[in-house]
Amino acid sequence: MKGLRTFMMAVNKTNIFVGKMMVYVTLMAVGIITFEVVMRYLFNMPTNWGHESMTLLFAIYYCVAAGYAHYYRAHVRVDVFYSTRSPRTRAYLDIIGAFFFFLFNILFLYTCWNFYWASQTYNAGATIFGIEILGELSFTDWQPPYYPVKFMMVLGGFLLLLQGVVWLIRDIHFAVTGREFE
Amino acid sequence: MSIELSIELITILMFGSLFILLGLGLPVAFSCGTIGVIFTALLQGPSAINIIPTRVFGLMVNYLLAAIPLFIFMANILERSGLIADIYEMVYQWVGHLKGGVATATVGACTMMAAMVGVIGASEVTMGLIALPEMLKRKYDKYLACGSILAGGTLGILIPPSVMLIVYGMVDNSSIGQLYGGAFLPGFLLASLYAIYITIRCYINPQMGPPIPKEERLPLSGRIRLLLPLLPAGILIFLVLGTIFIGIAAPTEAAGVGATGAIIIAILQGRLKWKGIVEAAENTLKSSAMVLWTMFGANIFVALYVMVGGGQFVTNLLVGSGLSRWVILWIMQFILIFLGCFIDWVGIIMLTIPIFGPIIRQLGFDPIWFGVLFAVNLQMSFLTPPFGYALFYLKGVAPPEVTTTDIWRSAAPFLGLQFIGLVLCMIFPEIILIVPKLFYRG
Repeated sequence: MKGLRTFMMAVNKTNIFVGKMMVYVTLMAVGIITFEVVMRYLFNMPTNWGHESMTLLFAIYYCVAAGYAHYYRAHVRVDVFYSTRSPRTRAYLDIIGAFFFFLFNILFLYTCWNFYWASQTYNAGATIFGIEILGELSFTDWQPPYYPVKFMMVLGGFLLLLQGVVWLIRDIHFAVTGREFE
Repeated sequence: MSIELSIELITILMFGSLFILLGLGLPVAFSCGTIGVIFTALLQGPSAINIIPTRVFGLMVNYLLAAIPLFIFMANILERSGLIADIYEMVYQWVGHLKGGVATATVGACTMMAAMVGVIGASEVTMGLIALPEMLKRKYDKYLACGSILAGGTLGILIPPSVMLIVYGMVDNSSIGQLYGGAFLPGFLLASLYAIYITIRCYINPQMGPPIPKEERLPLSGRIRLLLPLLPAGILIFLVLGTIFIGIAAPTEAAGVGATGAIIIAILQGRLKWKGIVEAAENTLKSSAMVLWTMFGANIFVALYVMVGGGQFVTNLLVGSGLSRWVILWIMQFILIFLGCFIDWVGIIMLTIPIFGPIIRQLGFDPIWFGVLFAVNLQMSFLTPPFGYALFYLKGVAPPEVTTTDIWRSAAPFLGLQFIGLVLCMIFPEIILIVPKLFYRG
């Protein structure tokens, strides 16, 4: 039980930590887009990286936030049948739902890994100091590598999976004993 | 290795199993995602599921969608900046002497806020915290009080800038600038309907909304001084809407600049600390993750359904039925109202618009007009129990003597008004189309 509790605390803390990091990503993205607008419309000096870097920051933001939102149970549900049940029935329903959740989550994680790995090992012909490096690049003028963002899909899916496991443990505990997992 | 099924059977199986999972209480994002993945593997072969990350990635790096977290962040900052309270105080002093004046002021303040924020939460929560106790203290009818907040706050997602219309425009491939132009008059139409309704009810029965006593009303000079907070509000509205309408900035840029503007104004007024910014950003993260993951999941579902011929099937069913195009339009509206009772607006857009959009074009209706009608229609979804965001937000901040049933009951007359607004926009398409025609020629 003690190991289980440590694991659950670690997952919760990780997702909360990721959420805290995203506060800075938000501010960075807001800063970048404002800088871009000011440079473009006031000084007529648009950057070639402003829009894309902001978009990629938000792409990372959505991905890794999946587990954070799941920690707060913020993913929206349809509250017709579910919300009117007793807490214990809800725990049983969540256990049934968890089967489908994991089915989706694991397949998502698996396909995202393939997607990321194809991007990481793609030969775009990029070189650093004359040495060829692998990895897919964006087709824009700025040409940032895509694979770190695609890796975030894997990471985000993994964080969501961990949080799903934590909820499943709590739901099973509640369904069996009728008490919250302390 | 895949199985062949008729499209009728696919439709029944996909939507049937989706409704079962949704009924179990599995979040919309994961319900749609699971069914989408399972049926992709069944109908197109197991290796076809490798298409899924490509679809999700396409949404992730969509430049327009970046406006969603930016607008939500801006609203969260404004919620903490006290600007909403200032606007409310101002409108309150100007119209409070009318019968039902506090409720009218609530609608008025919400309408002004709606021109700054693209979501409903900020106005619902702030008005629930300041206007509701005020109205209850003044012995307002509690149904009228709650209803004015529910309906007024919901305007936030209709009047531009609107997050809903961004998602709609992205899914339907229609111009967000034109949708914004189209949503203007319907937004003010609904606000006027609410204000007229409140005033008429209170003149018939003054017990429902007594005017504020003369001695509490500021003299003219004091009321003019209250216009001062409108200055930052005006700057923000220009930053966000002005730039979109003049056509110099994309919605994403406008949202980013608006967020920066909101932070600067709030800090200059000494009302925003670092802690407030962190809270605003964390709330934004929760809401954005929810919206985007619902989009990811629903996209996996609907993209497969359209790919296996579902869109064509529904088109043939409706268009081939021989019904007049207006009957078909009404059928769509009722489907939307029905879905609005259970599913949130993101899910509804993602699930219905890829199917409805082509039908609307085939029937010869204006896609911009339909887009705004859709947004007006979905105003109701925020107020229809059991699932209505406005109801949740208000319940979350209302004093304990206001029960959930009270809130549900208070929504009813305003739902009627929204329905009247929808009908008016259908009978007089100019309400929607006149602004886009004036501003966007050719």
